[in-house]
Amino acid sequence: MTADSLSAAYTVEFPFERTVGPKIGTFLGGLRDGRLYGAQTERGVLCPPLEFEPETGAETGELVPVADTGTVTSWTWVPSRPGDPVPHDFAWALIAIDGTIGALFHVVDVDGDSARMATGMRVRARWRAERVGQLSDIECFEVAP
Amino acid sequence: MTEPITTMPSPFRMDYTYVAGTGRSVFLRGLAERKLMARRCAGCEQVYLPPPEFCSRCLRELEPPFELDGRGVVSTFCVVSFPFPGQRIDPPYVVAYIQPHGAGTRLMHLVREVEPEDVHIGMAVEPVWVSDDELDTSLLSIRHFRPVHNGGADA
Amino acid sequence: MRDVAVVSFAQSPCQAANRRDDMADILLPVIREAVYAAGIGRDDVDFVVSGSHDFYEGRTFSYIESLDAVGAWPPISESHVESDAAWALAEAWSWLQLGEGDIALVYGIGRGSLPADLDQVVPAQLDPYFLAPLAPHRDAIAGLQAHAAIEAGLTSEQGMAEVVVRCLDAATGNPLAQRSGQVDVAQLLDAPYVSSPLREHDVAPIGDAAAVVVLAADDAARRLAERPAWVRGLDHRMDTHYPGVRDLTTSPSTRRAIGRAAELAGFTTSDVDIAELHTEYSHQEAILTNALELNGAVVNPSGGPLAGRPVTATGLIRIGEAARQIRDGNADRALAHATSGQALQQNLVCLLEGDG
Repeated sequence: MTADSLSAAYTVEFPFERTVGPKIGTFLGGLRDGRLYGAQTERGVLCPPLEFEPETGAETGELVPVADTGTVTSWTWVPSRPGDPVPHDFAWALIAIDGTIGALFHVVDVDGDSARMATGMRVRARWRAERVGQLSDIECFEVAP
Repeated sequence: MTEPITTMPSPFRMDYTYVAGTGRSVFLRGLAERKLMARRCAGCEQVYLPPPEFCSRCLRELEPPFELDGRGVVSTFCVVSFPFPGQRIDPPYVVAYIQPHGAGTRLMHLVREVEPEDVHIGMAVEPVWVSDDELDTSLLSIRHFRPVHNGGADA
Repeated sequence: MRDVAVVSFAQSPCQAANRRDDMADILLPVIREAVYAAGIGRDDVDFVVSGSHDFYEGRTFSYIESLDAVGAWPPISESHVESDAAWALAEAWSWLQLGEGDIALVYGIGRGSLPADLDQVVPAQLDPYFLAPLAPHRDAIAGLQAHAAIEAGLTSEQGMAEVVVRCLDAATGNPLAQRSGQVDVAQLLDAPYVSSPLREHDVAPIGDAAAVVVLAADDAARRLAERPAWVRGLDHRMDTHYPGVRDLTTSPSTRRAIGRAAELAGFTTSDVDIAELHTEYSHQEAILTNALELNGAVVNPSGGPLAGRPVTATGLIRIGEAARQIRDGNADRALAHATSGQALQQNLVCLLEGDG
């Protein structure tokens, strides 16, 4: 019996649409409008607005507008791939949005120079001109003046 | 007040490698030569077509492959009337489980060259192979099955 | 509580890419080996549970193909988890505790080489609203965790490289490891980052393998193994998903799980001789050592995942390896740990003990 096996490449593709519910839906609507929202909890405001408080499991409260500026609390440097928000190497980062507890996961763009990344650096959102209601409506965060 | 979004696109696209396995590869290679390869289990006498490497009842390696001509009978079938994305043929068309003479298992394929309402369980059928330049290590080397009109015995 | 033990363990070699076998072919020789080693026939197995994942296999209901290697005719009692097979073992252990039978066969298949690009697959396990749409690189969240662990003083790039050196060296004694050998720290630190501060060697190498563990209860275990590896405690917990609201440098779910497992076992991690930890990244050894309060145990004598990570079989192999050390008489008490999800999100721990 031949020990040789045939193999072939193939693609699995599904065009799913997800319903988002009122809380995430309002957050995404805010992104479309160029605004960041957080959810109120007993301990403080969470951005992104998780629907349930991670420590207690309680439902989070109303959404409130938050600033689109914050502080980097952790980052990792990665090579840019086709489809990434910026064409040069960049950082994925956790950004503590001002006035919130926790952090938001997003891109930090420093023009491909990793030496400019630092925990504690101040950043602000760079919004896309055309927005649709997705986290990528924020193209990335960049160094705040 | 912010007008909420109600749905968001969430597309998946993933590329993979399919590994046929050694047993399945024997079958696929046979198809490229217009051969339907079967294998027998010496333990339970089952004849598998397509044949894996070992019997899933006895868990023992199957005997060496041998060829069947693919003539057989319709074991069960359905008439596909419903359109769906990626469909290759316009409905209505017949998909059947065909038991080739000499095999204990059934092969799924199309039944054509007959009106869907004339297809019946027990109908004698034979494979229709593609032309030489279309042959490949694929079940599509068989274009479809059609009724046997000359001397084919119905079950 | 019934006394449930691992009575045999087998695995196929961890290969970077197995392009020969289908799911049944990769499993059958391993089942044969484990069943033979336990001295049972396939009819003696009361329950079969498996762990594998459609998103690695690239087909829906993919594991059904593997049942051809189990012998599912006449019909058998079986179950499956779309997860690391360590969770399949948890289900089998629970099933035996409920007194449904005496012998369970647990198998895991992990074929991480089938996806052409893991950057397409790995983000699918992330929050679909806040994370997946950004399509982070496969190791990005682990990179954030490694960065945080270094800033918290838990480890360093040097320390991470030392873990890799130790694991690859230990793996030279494991003929089934995917990678092994003598490397030096300086050589490793010369390599570029893949997701800083992670370098290629800091990421457990993805590959393909199948693993089987046979569990037996009470007298069946005593009959089937000279020195059964008793599963004295087992528990699993999960941390919150979103990385921005977790302290990535600690592992509360691991702490909680080991606390509960130790209650069941009547001993804890300071009593174990060896620990097999499911470290998908080198920096995670420091985080887990802290969370588990390991003290003097030899970590990953098999080489661990940094010597081979056959995705959904990896955690089950940790349990099998820990049990093997007990059954071979090299250890009296052992810990096995399994993880699932990014950056140690879900954790399972198992405390094992030999007689005498």
